[in-house]
Parts: sequence; structure tokens; C-alpha cells
Amino acid sequence: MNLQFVVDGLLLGGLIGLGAIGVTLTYSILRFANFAHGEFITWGAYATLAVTGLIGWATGQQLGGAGPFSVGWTVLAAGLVAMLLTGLLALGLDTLLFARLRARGNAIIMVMASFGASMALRSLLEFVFTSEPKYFSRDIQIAIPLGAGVRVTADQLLMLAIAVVLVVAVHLIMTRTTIGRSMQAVSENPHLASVAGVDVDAVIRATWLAGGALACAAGIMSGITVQVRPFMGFDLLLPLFAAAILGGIGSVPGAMIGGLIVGLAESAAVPLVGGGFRAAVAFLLLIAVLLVKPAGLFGMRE
Amino acid sequence: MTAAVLLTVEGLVAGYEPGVPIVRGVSIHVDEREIVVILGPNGAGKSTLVKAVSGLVPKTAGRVMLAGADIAQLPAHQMVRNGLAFVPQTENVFTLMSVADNLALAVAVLPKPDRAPGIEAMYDLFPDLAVQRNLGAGRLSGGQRQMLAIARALMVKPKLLVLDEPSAGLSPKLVELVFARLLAIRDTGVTVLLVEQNARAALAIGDRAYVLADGANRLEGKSADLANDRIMAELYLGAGQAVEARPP
Repeated sequence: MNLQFVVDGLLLGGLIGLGAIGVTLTYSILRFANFAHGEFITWGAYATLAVTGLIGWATGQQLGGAGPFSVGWTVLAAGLVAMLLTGLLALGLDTLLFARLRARGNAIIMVMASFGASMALRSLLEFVFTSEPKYFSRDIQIAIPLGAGVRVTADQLLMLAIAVVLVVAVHLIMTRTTIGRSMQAVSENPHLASVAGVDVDAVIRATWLAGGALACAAGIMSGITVQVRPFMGFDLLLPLFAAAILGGIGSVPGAMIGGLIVGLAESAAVPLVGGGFRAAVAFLLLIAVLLVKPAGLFGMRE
Repeated sequence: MTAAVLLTVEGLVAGYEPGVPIVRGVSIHVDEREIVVILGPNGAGKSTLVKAVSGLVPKTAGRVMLAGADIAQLPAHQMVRNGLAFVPQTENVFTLMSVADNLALAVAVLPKPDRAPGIEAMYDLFPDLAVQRNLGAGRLSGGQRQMLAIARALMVKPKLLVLDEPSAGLSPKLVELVFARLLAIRDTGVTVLLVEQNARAALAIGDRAYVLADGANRLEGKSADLANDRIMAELYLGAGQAVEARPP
């Protein structure tokens, strides 16, 4: 069997993991499953495209790739701006929608509202950008052979490296800083956290910002290595939740490892049982985890 | 010589839901360096009173003054910054975090230079915690947990330490240990307000006590006097049951 699926799986797993971190944080801190999280991925990708275009238009420069990569520094700069914008989008959605419903304390209403928000956000993108796929670059990248028939493009390596850097950074923030400890505290016991001096509302805002920004990073990864289309995030929703639950709700390293497992399993399904079953893999994994170990691999509670 | 008043609560009305007050007009005051005990049968509103004072339960009427400042409208997370630290009765440590992280989280409200010495001071005060610093707080024994909860609250150098039934679930020996600690803490200049079910033990360390019944003041006085009070006995043995059995 060709081992190409390992490279594909790691890449897919990396971007699922980045998205799943946001899901796991919002799930554990705000106590609801946000189905609009996939749209943050899509909006992040489109925002990066739009900002890249704006920079190109403003500077009048021809946008080319930097070094061996299909995209250049402009995309990187645009990506950073888009991460902030997506974080603000998540924050705005919370202020307009979720914060008002949270006051009533009904998680089911929140989940349903996130469904509605998901549809609205997706349709808005389709309206503005059409459903035609878009690309960061139409250049053809020559894949580097790694031996054993495995090939990898420079873009794929770059995206994996960025994913690793982001995950390590988030993990360090969660375990070594005050805001990270505050997030853990609110996730376990919001009342005790506020008694200990934690501003729960500030933690919630930080959670949305971080979740949105990481989803945007996942969107950029997917957009550069595949394409940008309005359903790209929605199609990742099930794998995101499978990864977050597999890793254990609330665990950042768990979400990343869960993402890698789901990504590798999906990619392995293609040579093993055929591409048609690929989408079912995340679903089967999710059911298996819920039946066998509902707390997940690194979860502390069910 | 009369000591300065640290905490004044006047006509406090509070409850979890609007229109359903559990505390119905309670007034208490705590002087500096006092240990004041709140007693009363189950359902008397003791716990709700201290939660309302700490900002966890909404207040609908009344005044709460701490060291001359009106703290009635402050959200719970601002209380520690204003000198009031609260130790809840249950779930009072973060079980998924290590002992060290529990303390590090609490100390974050202090200015940076004070943080590391603050944590070291707590380890000196509670040597048990120093040994267990890297252990998950969920794996501590009941007594150690209570010590961590108190250490967490003391971390912010409060003027007033408020505790909701620190003896709950502890063996008599541990209760003795915890209460001895409270006396030592008071001797360092911290004022203590304490809700207790264990009246005998609490009156032994308290200077004064208030007895609540049905969400209102019922009795108050010096601990020694209350320990022998007839109405007290009645509240706990007779009328207390009646209060408890009343439909909400």
C-alpha cells in the first residue's frame, strides 16, 4: 500500500486539529456545541483571500509565491489580519446572538441558534463570493519525492509547520499563563473562577477570539492546499467534533491528536475501502468514542 | 476601646431567582480582627447570605459596606480585589488543575512582584500543600482540599475571609485542625466571617455569632452567651425542623 495517505492525513489532521481546538474550548467554557464553528473556517479563508486582494490592489504588485511556495508574504500578512477579523467575527456573533441566549441558560437553544448562524454566515459568503471555488494560486507546484512513492509539496510542509507552531503556542498559553489558567478554571467551575478573581466575561471573549483565529488558520491551510469554497468549513464540522470529542472536551493537545487521528483515518480510508467511504470515517470514529470512552483520550470528565 | 467596623450588611434581601428572596432583610456587622459565626437551621439562608455578600447571588435590596466602601454592586470577581475572599462550601478547588496552578490562578490578581513570594508564603503556612504542589487538586484528601481552598483565598491578602461551612464533610479531628488554622489566620490580622452547621465547634472559636431563621435575624450575641441560650437549643432541635419542613 502506498504511504501517500500518511502525508495527506497529517495535513488534513493538522487543519482538523486547529479547528477542533476552537470547538473544544467553546464547548468546555461556554458549554454548548457551536455548529457555526465550521463557518469561521470558511470566513477565515475568504477573509484571507479578500485581504490578500486588497493588499495587492493597494500596492499594485503582482502577487507571486515566495521561494518554493505557491503563496507569498502577502498571504501570510493577510492571514494574520484575517485571523484577527475571524476572531472578531466570532466575538461579534457571541455579542449579538449567543450572549443573549446564554443569559437564559438553555444549551439546546444555543445549539439551534448556532445552526441558524451557520446557515446565515454560509449563505452570505455564497451571495458575496458565489459558490464558484476560488484559489490562492493557480501555479502548479512540483511535489518533492520523499521515497516509497510518497510526495509532498512545499506548501504542505509549510502548512504543517504552521499548524505545529500554533498548537505548541496555544498549549503553552493554556498551561503557563494567567489567561490560560483562567480558561481552564472557567471551564471547570465558573462560580469558583469568579470567586478566585477571574473575570468570566473576559475569558469568554478570549475564547471566541482564539477559537475564531485558529479556525481561520485552518481555513487558510485548507484554502492553500485545496481550494476555497463556501461549504469548506461546513464539510469539516463532523471531523471537528469527532476530533474534539476523541481528544477529550477541554483538552488542547487532545483536540490536536484527535484531529490527527481523524485526518489519518479519513485518508487511510481512501486506499483501504475506497474514497466513497471517506466521509463516514469521522462519523464512525465519533460513535465509537462515545460508546467506548465518552470522556475521550485526554478528557477529565464525561 | 472599640474596634473599627469592617463589614456592614444592612437589610439585605437576596435570592437566586427574582421575586423569591431567600435572605429577607438580614443585618450584620463584623469588626476588624473578629471571628463572627453565622448559625441557623437548614434553609435559614446562611449560605445564601454569604454568597450574596460575595457577589455570587443577586441582591435586590440592602447595603453592603466593606472598610467604608460600598461593595453591594460589585461582581464576584471584583470582590477579591476589594479585600473580600470567599471560600465556598463544596467544589472549592479546581480539581482538574494542580495545587500549584490553583494557587497561581488566585495570585494573579496581585501585582507581579508579589506573586511568587505570595505562593511561597502559602507553602510555608501549609507545608502539606508544598509537598503536593504538583499533584492534581482532585487527588487531595478532604482536609488538604479545605486547606488549599483557604490558602487560595488567603493568597490575595484579604481583609475579610468569608467561609461557607468549612467543617462540612470533615472528621471531628480535621474540623479541630481547620478551626485552629482559622484562629491562627485571625491572629495575622485577617477578619473571619464563618457560616457553620457545627454550632458547638464554631462558637468555641467565634467572638460573636448571629443566628438566622427563615431568612432573617433571629438572635445575636457573644459566642459564650449563645452557647447556653435556650432559644438556640429550640431553633436547632424543635423550631428548626419546622422551618426546614416548610414548603418553599
